[in-house]
Amino acid sequence: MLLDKGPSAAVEATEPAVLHFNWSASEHWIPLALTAVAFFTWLLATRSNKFWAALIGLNAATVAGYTAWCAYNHLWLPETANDLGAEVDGLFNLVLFLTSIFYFITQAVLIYTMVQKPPANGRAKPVHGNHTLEIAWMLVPAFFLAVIAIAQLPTWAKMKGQTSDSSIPVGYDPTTDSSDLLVTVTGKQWEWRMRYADPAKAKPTNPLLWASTPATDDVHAVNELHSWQGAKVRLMLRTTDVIHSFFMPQFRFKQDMLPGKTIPALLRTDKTNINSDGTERCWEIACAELCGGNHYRMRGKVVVHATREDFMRWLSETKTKQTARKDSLAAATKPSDTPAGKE
Amino acid sequence: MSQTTPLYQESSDHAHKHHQPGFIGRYIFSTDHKVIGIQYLFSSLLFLLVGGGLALLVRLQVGYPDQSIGILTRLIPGLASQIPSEWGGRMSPEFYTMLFTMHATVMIFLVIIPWLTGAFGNFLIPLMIGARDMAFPILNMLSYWFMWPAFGLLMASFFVDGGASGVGWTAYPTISSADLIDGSYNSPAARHAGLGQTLWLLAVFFSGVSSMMGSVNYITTVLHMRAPGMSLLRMPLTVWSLFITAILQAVALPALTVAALMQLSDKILGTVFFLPPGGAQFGAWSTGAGGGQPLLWQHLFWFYSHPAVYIMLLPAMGMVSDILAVFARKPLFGYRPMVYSMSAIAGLGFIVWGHHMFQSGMDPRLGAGFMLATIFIALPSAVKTFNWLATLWAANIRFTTAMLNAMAFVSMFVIGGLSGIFMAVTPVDVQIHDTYFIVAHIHYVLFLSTLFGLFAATQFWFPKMFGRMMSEPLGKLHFALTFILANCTFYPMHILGIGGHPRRYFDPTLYEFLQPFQSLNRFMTISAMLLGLAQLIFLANFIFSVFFGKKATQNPWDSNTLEWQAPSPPPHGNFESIPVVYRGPYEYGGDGATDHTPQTASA
Repeated sequence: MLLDKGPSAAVEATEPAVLHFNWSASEHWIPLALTAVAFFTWLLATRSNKFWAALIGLNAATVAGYTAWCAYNHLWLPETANDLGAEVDGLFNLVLFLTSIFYFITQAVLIYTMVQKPPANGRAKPVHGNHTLEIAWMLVPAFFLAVIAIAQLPTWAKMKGQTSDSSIPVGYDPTTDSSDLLVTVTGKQWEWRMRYADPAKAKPTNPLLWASTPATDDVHAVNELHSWQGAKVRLMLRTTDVIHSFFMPQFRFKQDMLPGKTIPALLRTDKTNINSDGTERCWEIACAELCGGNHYRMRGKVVVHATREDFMRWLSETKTKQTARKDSLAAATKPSDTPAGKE
Repeated sequence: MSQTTPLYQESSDHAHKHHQPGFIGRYIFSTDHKVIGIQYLFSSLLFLLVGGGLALLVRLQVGYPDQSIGILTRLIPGLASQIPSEWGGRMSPEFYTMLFTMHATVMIFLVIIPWLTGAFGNFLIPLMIGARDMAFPILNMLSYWFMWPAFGLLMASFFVDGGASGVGWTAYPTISSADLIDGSYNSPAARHAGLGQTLWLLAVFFSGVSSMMGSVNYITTVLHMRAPGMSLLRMPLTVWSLFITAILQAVALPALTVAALMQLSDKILGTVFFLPPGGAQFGAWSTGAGGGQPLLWQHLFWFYSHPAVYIMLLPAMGMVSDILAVFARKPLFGYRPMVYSMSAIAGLGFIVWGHHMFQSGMDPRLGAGFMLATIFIALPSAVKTFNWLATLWAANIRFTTAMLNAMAFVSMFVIGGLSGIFMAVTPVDVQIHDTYFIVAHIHYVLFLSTLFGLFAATQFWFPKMFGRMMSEPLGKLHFALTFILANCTFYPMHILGIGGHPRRYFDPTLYEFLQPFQSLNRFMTISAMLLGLAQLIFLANFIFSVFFGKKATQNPWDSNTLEWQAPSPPPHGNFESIPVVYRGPYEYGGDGATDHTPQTASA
């Protein structure tokens, strides 16, 4: 239903809504209220410059408080779909913690200088610098930055390295591909075409080659990435036209697709999004690189089945439909132009 | 080195009076650096309105995706023809891509860079080093007039078939570079990638040539035309920052200028610099075989455009440093560390471009290298921040409009700098890359830092430019509103980005994971509209003060640097006689007769 919006919907609505304000909604009156706050601060500041400190100080405090409020209310990183995602979130929190310390110190000092007592005779001491201080405030951030730099290396290697636990990401070697499922994802304006190698059959000897030369018994799907809990999925990312970027927020996964290149990526589907009552939590695929007007409509979904059997059931159903469609098309002797049959 | 004798200093103080140019020679095709600076300033302000208007339209669409823009199509001639009729009164997605592309292009190439290096670079460098003019006055004039083809082409591109460029200011191939459909100006890749993109590339080329001429001039002027006694390490940080920026620009800019020509030749001559060997298929249309690489463009583009971020920041840092010292009535803390850290930012700035390409398909081993350089560029930025704070410590602060804007710069630059660390952490960048987090980051650097620096600098040097003061109450009102509303507009973008909200989305409500963020989108849109209105106060103050502002004295802020030793406004030739410099620029405070000692005061 969400996907139905677009030009056709616009035709039906002869006169689209003119800006409709709901003034009771906080997002509409808060900016106005804050404008009023700024205005009154300006009035008050004609009396005392302390109000300028209040303006900048309140802003700094609000920024911090608002960030905490968002984290608390889950306006934050989406649910993580695998262990690697949890590791990424750990790094995020580490950086957030370290930068927060720096943030509070600098803002506090700035505000303090705005309310400090002016020097006695109105003359500041002409201090030009301090060598020790300069060394100190270079070394301390350098230490924290080094911590951040080193802490992230293993995770980056795991995300991009794909083959070993080495802290340097290693290039993809098709002969040692140990994945459970091979999927070629081809971006084109404006959809994702998925091609699955049937995991029940022998694995293609060279997955890179397979990515550009489809086998006859491959299974095709559009905008749907399926896997099962615990699988290691090898994605072969390709595009036929422009640069797209395959983005799955829950997996902390994003990789551009480059014209002329096949980019191998490893996706671990550690968690299922099928609830115990059979309903599905919505995990979406989005395009993160501008690819034309309908860039925003490259919406797909990820389904991580609870078991391999569930996945195989979906695969064989899709395959049956695909064969039926191919047969009916052959009977009609028309050139194939269905999205799934084109590759 | 430090005591270079000026090469081009005139021997006679009256040499500059030998020619009396007419109106056109004095105000239009002027070779006087001050007039050229003010020309840059006026055109930047004009395009600030254009770029701001485009931004508000972008926000309108993201906040209210089903909104009719019927009023606008009636008001703006030609607008309706740019939007296919099936969108019935709404914006079309293609039109939306054009809006944000042109917003970025106008703001970067026609507002921020010309305002910083064009207006203030031109106006301040000769005055602050005690020279009569730039080293190459005619080249200087040409550099301004080479901006006009860029202005004209970009503005004309709104009205051509297919409209202005809509492929993002990054212009990534193959959407931007696909060769045009035979016999037409249309691109098979996107509606807004045809003639509009061709003109865009030409405009970038012209603006590149213009900036190059400026850079050569600034470098030569700073190296050769300093007044006697003005050693390099007695130069105000404003001059240092503009000097370093000019070097950055001179080295990095050719990459973009040439890349723009390469893409242009891909589009109209059928070369294949950026087309992969297999070509590309756009629906029924397929290009021939290529032989190039889209990644090549990304490298060339970011090799310039990352340093460009520093080009758009360093001069603001320099000017803010000067303004902080003047109104703190205290010497700038750590002058040499400040110079070194700016140089370090410029140097490291050349080896961090790959951090824009962490998810591009570039070898991940390269990513680790770029990550290290990127992380450590935070270090000189931190050193600068600490030095600014130490300057303010135990100071005798005067809360002028310029000072408030400069202090806001420090507060906001901390946020913009810290959010950069998140993106330098490669695994975290995977999540926030190409989301609103980067939009937040760049606006904290370019709007809440650079633009606040520019507001401060404009208020501060306005008396020197026009001989009149800008209104302080109006300036402060503008500051208070802009400060709060800019934070309301841009801070929540961080939250959106953390949630994974991709940038450049026409209608985010299509996605379930973005539903919780839509009210924030509306919040930012309302704030942005109010922010836009608040800028009218600045413009009104500016225009009003040019004509009716209080007459300025020669040195209204009790500043030490050389430009305040010249009359307000300085005549052609700047100084009665070339000043002689005896000391550094930041001798404020202390127990002397006055609380400041100009650079020209002899011991």
